Amino acid sequence: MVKEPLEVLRALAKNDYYQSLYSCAKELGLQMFENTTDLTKLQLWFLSYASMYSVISTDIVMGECPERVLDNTIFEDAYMQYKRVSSNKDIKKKVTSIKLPKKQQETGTQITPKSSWVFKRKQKHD
Amino acid sequence: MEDKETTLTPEQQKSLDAVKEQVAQAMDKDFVEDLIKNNKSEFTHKDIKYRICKMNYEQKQEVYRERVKKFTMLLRDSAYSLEKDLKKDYLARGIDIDDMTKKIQALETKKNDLLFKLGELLKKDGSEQDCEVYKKEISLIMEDQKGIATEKQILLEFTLENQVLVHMYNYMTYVSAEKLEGDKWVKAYKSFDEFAKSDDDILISKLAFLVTMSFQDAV
Repeated sequence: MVKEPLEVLRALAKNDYYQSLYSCAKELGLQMFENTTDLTKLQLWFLSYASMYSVISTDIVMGECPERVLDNTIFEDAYMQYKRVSSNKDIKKKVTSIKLPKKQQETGTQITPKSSWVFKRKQKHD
Repeated sequence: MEDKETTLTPEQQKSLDAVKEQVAQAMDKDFVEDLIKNNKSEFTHKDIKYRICKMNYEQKQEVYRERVKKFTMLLRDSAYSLEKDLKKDYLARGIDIDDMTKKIQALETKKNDLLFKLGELLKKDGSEQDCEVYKKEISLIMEDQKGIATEKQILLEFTLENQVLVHMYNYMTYVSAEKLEGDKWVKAYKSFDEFAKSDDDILISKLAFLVTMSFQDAV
């Protein structure tokens, strides 16, 4: 029962009027709904779809993906799935690629780095 | 692609189409657009303004009592089975409901995998033909998923738990629906009987949709 209204909601979020409104709300702080707090579930879903279409549109403008991604909902979902999974992979790669000092890697113990400060003795003046 | 082991009978398909048509009529673009403008949950139907208002503590208690009453009543009625008992009965007839759930999950994993591959292809601006092949495959999986989920829903429709849930949503709709008379909001239905006998299915669908959206967590 919930599926059909969500399709209507998705189509609304994709249309030019709401996309302009969404980007104005983001950049200029324009109010999107009459209420600013206590958002309904429907409003939250709408915002999530609007954000998704904004991401795709930005990627198209930046040349990250072709325009045909917006041809149908399957292409849209596929592109977002790819983006989500590959960004998760990138984060994991970054985390594993951080190299620890050798000793710390072997023993797992923290090594206190030697101080790089040079302490000079105060010269005595006669 | 997995074989379709489960199919709907023509009668089931007919009633499903009728429900879909009814929902599609109720959920037109203007109705949904009106709902996202604010959080008032108001809409106009046949020149009368309706709304779903948040239930107060007393109303929530009333719904809860109704839920308990219905559950106890159905539990004493041997005509209704609990979900776990009905599942056993189905299994004895060769219909495995748990297996249906597993199939839906397996299809979801497969769908996500294909979506990723299609997304990768789109990103690389791959050939239109290849993209169409993936798209078709994903559409088929989604249809399969819908088919199995609908059949599961139909098979479990008569469980005691489901009957209680449906009754509770109906009761919540009756309790929280209001209409504007002059400049005053009054109850849309004077009694649950009046609500139950109402023949305006589109209005009920709209109200029920709003109730589902508003009180899903309360259930």
